[in-house]
Amino acid sequence: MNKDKKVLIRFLLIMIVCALVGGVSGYFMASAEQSASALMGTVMQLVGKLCYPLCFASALVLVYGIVTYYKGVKLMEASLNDMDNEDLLNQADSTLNVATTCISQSPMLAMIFYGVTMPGCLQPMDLTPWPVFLAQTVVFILVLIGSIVYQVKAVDAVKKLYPEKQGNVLDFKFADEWLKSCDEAERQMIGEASYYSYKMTAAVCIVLLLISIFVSSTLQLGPFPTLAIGIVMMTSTFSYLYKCYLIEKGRK
Amino acid sequence: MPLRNRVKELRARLNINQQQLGAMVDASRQTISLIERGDYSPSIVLALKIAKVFGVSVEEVFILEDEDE
Repeated sequence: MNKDKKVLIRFLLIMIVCALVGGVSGYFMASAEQSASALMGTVMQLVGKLCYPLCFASALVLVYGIVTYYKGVKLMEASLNDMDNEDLLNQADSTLNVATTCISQSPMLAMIFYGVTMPGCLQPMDLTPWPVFLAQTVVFILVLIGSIVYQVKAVDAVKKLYPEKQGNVLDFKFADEWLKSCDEAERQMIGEASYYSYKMTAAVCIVLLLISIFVSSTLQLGPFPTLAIGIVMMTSTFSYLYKCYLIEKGRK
Repeated sequence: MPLRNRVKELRARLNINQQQLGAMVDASRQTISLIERGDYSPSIVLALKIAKVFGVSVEEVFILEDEDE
């Protein structure tokens, strides 16, 4: 049996299994609607309880990023005084990369967990623990301000290590300016990483879409979750395909 | 097909570091490091620029390894 036939048979088997699992799950969700609804309600409350401390944990990610940034700056200054030491330069580079990653991801985490624990989102407004919510709001604002300040500092440190790099983090055109100053190897790296990100986004969106459809059958979530995930998925796919088309036609 | 190179050896002869070579060929220090480690095969343009800096032909800097070897 040739490879294509094996692939087709495997694909069909997976589709049949998925259809059976989906059908059986849907049947049980519909027939046990009340208990499924109660279970979902309990799960949502647990999620809410987890999200309250996780909002503060996003501040820890920022703090780790800031500590790593200062380590990176020390290594950067040492490597600039000894440009022939390639190991030191590589170490400074990777430390600053870790710092930039943590600093840039901390506001994302803070926004997600803060949004999930908004009053009225997981529980009625009159049951919201207001002192905790106010403390979260303060931490959220501090994480946002801290991440902006330290993203600027971290990028400035990288620019000292690589003087050819251009772009101001506070400029909305920063990503374009930075890409223009990248050389061929860096652009290839960005291309490969972007393709990997596109594949992961597509896979995760499909799973989330299915979960959203199932959960919507028991909880009154409205159309927003399904629409939001669908829009993200379609934007990712169409923008990727459109850019491929433009590049193929020789246009930027 | 793997590509070997003598960039590090030729760079040591000229007594220049990766940053300096990168500046001469409009590439970053990181790219020169990737090339020397064999983790990146440069474009024709970059390979020609590197060979020009060393004053040798491209074939003397980058060697295509035979698959049979």
